[in-house]
Amino acid sequence: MGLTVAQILLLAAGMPLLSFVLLIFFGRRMGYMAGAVGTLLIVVTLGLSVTASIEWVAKAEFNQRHYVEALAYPWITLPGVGAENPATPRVLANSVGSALVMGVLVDSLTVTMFVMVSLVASVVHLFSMAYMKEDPRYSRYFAYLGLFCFSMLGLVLANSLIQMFVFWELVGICSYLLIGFWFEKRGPALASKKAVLVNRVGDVSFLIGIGILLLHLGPASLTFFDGQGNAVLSSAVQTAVHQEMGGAEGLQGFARLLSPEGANYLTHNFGATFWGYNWLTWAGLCIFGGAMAKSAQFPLHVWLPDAMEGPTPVSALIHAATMVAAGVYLVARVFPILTMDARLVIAIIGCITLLAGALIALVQTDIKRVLAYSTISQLGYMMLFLGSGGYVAGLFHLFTHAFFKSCLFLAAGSVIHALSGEQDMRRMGGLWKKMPITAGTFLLAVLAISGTPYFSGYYSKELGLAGVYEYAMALHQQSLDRHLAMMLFWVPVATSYLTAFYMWRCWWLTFGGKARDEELGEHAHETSLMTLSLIFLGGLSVVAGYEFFRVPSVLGKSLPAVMALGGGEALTLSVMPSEDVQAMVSQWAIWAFVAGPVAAIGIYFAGFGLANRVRRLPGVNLVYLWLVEGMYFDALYDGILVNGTKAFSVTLGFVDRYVVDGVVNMAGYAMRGVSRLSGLMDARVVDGAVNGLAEAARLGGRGVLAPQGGRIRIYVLGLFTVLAAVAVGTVVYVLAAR
Amino acid sequence: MIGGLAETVVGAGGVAADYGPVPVVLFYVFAAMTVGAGFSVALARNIVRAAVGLLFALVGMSGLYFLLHAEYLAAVQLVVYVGGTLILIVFGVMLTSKSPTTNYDAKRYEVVWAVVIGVLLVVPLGWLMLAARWHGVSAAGGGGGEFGAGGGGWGVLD
Amino acid sequence: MVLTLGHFLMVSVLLLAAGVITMIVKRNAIGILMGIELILNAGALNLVAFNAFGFGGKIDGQIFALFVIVIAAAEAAVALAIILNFYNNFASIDVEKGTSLKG
Repeated sequence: MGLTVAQILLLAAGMPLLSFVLLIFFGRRMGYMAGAVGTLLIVVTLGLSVTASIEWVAKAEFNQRHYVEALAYPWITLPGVGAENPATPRVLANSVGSALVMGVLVDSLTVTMFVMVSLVASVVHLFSMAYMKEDPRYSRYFAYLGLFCFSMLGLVLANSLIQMFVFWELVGICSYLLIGFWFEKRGPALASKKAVLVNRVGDVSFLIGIGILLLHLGPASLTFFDGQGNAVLSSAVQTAVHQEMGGAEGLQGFARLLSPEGANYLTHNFGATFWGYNWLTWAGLCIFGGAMAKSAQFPLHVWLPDAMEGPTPVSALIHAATMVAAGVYLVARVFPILTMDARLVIAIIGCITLLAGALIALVQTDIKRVLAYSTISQLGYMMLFLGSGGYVAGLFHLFTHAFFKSCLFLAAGSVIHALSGEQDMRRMGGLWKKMPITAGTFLLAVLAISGTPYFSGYYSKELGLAGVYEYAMALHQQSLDRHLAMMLFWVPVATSYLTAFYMWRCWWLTFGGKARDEELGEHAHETSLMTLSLIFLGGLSVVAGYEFFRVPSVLGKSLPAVMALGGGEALTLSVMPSEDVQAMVSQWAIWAFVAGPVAAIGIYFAGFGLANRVRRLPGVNLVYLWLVEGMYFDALYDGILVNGTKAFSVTLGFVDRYVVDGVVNMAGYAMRGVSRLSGLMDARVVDGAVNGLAEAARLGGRGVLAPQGGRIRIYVLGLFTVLAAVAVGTVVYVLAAR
Repeated sequence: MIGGLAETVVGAGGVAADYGPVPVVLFYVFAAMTVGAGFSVALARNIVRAAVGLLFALVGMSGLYFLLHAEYLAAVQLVVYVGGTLILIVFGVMLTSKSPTTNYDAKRYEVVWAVVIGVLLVVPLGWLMLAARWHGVSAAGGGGGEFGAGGGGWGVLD
Repeated sequence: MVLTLGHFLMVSVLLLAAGVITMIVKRNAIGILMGIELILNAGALNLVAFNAFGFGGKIDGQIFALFVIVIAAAEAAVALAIILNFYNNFASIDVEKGTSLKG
């Protein structure tokens, strides 16, 4: 083929857009063909992206350390932004000039994400054809899916932060549309609103981050790579820091800034100028704020469990595999410019998130909510891996997670479909007899997520944990307290046991044991389209981590070369942890795959009996309540933010009613007093004159009232009277000036 | 052929030139048509007549555009305005005319006020437009007068 | 005999006055719409006249006049929808009757 990889990928991204346009305009007429059309087009995308990835890996240049193909076109020219400030380093004298850039960026990360997204999207399309069959808005659903796939692929291809932000909002709106797909019901309508509102917080933060970079670096530097494959953003940051730190030590300094001993280095050597480049940390944190909302990180995770109100295949595609991973992708894209401090915050947030998500997932009984909290927890892992410098591990986990989590969701969807909408695990049980393939694939995915050796999740999690271990050790060698630093390692290790437990619990309660509701499960059955999708994803969640696919090494190729500049030895440290560390860390975390099922099946062997007894124990019951309510985050936000806003509005209303109206009423009373006085005068003193006055006041009042009668023509009259007055005034002015 | 006429009025460079009386006569015909029809819209008591008046005003405008060397615009004026917008308005008239006896006449004081405002707009604006020496307007095109020379602070009228 | 900018501007001013008077005098909503059309035309004529006399070979003014025409068309469509709704609600298109927003 004569097309470059970038062209193939652009073509591939266009397919879902075509599907959206076709289905939104002609979908209703197509009937059930709509699903077939949408699926066909996304499968074309999948074919193209696989072609592109094969071509990409076969490229000779690919063997270099880092290779990109980028297109960058000036989009909006912003002359003078940041230029007024002479202190702002003018770093860019390259081809793109001082313009915001639109473009296409193809590197190994893009290609990997592209294949992942189109793969999961294809399977979800296929599954949806069966799942949504009875829905009256069947074609609309596929149109939205097409729009989402286009936006997501566009986000992956974006070559500048601004362009990314555009697609970022697009995937957000698709998420809104699909969560609220059954908007007639109260739950989905509220959930979609909540998702948008929470994401708005993150989006503003993202925008502020972009603004900080814009201010310090100028518009063009928001580009990731220019047409020649130079890393614009990271080298712009590097040069800016270099200039601010002044002199030869700048390069070294920049590299150290990004390395584990960076914080120490800053305070010792650059205490005075610390605030000078603190903006870089803030920019990183603000951009991470956007990722926090999208990737449901603590404390902005509250929208994701509610997003499960949407159709289950949507949960699998958007709220498990792709869109929520966009935050992780964003962090990976800006990874080269994240300072040490920013990365520490990311690691800590990720650590909190993974623990909180796993704890809440322990006690949920709604099958989709278990999976939602599990997703939150796994996203926390990715953030922690990235924050601790495990660039490859974080993205690798994103890759494997996409397959096993979407497999879990689709299997859950199959169950929900079979039980005609029932999602409560307390009424399930024993379904493996009725739905053996669903149970089997779900089990494969459970094995993968709990880190069973030779399943995909095992590889990515072990790699990441090893990185975290090295990071924690490096932290502890500096100023940080040993125990505190090692928490970053022990919490995820402990959580991996929790993960195995709650996932096995989920599987056992759904498929294992005896049926707790015979009637419900009686007619449960699987449909061939669904099982086909499940088998495909189940297989992938086993093999996605294998050496054969070379995913980690391919991802490693996308780490920008700027990282290696100027003594960045310390930096590469945890990007690829050594075999020894991996082996050592393995000892700690590996036993989850045994402990999880043993504990879960042990406790839940005969249904909820034992668990219920445990949860009623004093002390435990409070913890249970706390967890089952999602740690009361909703109540907290409701109490503080929602009610706060309401209270503020009520206060304003109060002020309006009593203060403003009071003043007006006072004026009224005063007026009445005056009139009464004048009435007295009228009665006693000069009748005629005062009568005239009262009449004048009445006419005046009517005159003031008349224009406010909602009568358009009076407004027009007033408008043109003023215009005429202005014209006359101008003439008078000109004549006077002569 | 009309396009050729327009050439004779303004000239390619926007410089007015004397091409004899034909374009000037045409201008007065179109201007009278436009303004007369415009006032007939204002004064018509029957809304259908007002619509017909508007039709003539718009056609007259189109003629003025031809004289101003804006042939395409004149065509668009005819197609979109006369062919589209006006038809839309006539539809509106048809769809909402319930009884012919409905009285939409204005009150007398409103008419008086309207005329006063009209005069107050026409006289000063007209005077300003004729008296101004427009910045950038070709000499033959602009009116006479010393307007703005001593006024100071006028960006456009300099 | 020469045509000057002033000729066209005077037509524009008179048309503006006609539009203003129409808008004030008519109680019929469609009549008011006609007044607006007249005013828009007066403005467009200004743009075209200034363009013809002041800008050499450029056609910026004509482009703007084109926008005016297109927007007038769109506006007429929207206004017609509003007027029909008004008619449905008040059984009349006398704008004096539409005072229910009054406090």
